[in-house]
Amino acid sequence: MAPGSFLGEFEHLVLLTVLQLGDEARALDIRAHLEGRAERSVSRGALYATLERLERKDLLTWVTEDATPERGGTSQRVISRLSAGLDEAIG
Amino acid sequence: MKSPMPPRPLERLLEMLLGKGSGSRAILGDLREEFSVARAQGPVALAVVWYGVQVVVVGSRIGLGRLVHGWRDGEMMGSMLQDLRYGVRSLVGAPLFTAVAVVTLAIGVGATTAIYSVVHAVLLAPLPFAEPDRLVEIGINTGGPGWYGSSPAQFIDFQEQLETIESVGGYTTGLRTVGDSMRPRRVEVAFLTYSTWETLGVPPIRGRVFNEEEDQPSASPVVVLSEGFWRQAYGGDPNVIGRTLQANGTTATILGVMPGSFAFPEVGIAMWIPFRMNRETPTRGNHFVNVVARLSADRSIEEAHAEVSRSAGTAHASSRGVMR
Repeated sequence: MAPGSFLGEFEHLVLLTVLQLGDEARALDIRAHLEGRAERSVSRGALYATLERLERKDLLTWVTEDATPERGGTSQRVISRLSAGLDEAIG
Repeated sequence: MKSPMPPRPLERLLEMLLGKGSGSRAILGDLREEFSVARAQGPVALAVVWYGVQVVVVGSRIGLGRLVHGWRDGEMMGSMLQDLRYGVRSLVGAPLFTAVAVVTLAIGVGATTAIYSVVHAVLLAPLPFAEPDRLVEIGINTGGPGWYGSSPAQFIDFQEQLETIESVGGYTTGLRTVGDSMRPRRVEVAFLTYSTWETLGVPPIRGRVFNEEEDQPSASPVVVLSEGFWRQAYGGDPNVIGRTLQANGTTATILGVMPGSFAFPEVGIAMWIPFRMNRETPTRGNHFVNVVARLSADRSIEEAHAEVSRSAGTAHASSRGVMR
């Protein structure tokens, strides 16, 4: 992780959720999982911003899936944690 | 079957806020997917409103986050600094061009500032008097070329007869030697009738102005200082009121200090002295009293013009109200 940065509570929750969902975590799944398990409302803006922040901190990465007709021809991110992210999440 | 799509304008707005990139396309896709679920579960209007809210929330959050991140990581700042460094290097490498450019800019800025200062003082800034649009100057024309001041007798006529005029002030200017024999100095002064203060309607910043009794020929000498003279000669002493000064060998008591903006009848006046007009035997042929007057609130300059002409025979009221 970049020096001088730390993991916030929500970042920690997102990282743990990605860990739980395995290598098939998508943003919509992460949000649904968080709302169900952590019993808190999750704003989409906050979630996307957090995913980008974790990616910049080298704790997450993602690959882009092929576009599907259900999504109007847009691709989808499949998010996975990096090993550093795992260490950070489990402390 | 093709999924229902969000309204195109809203999606375009979101695209603009998010910018380009695979991450942005994925967010658009996520919201399309959720929009189709919302459409399936409820009315169209509700789904559109929901999508509009997401555009604002997600777009502003992600777009702002990327902007701040870009600045923090030095992408935008780095580019700007690079441009700046390039500019400085170019200027240092061509000193003659730089000198010409700097001199041209300096002349341009100086000229613009000077022109604006004049335009501001003459056209834009209000005159430093109360309700300046009601101030007029009364000049006397005896049929020939030129305008003159009034005689003391005419001035008294104006004061006593004019109904279109609320108040009339008389003034003239001169020079006085101020100080003792050790450190004398010549200063410009103005002699005012006490009514001029009421006509102009500007209060002093310290002390008071002279009244009718102090404007009588037999009264003890008094003066009102300008702010500039007060600061120059007395160092802005707050206890200057009541002190005396020597003007042309006469000891006068300082009554008050007028604000720096009060440049009447012209810039550079150091003090105002009572006119002390002889109202018992006023002369009628000597036109040396300049007259400033304040129109009554409900009267026009045309009415005043006609009345002044009637009062003074050949006299006319002019609206040359540009008195600084």
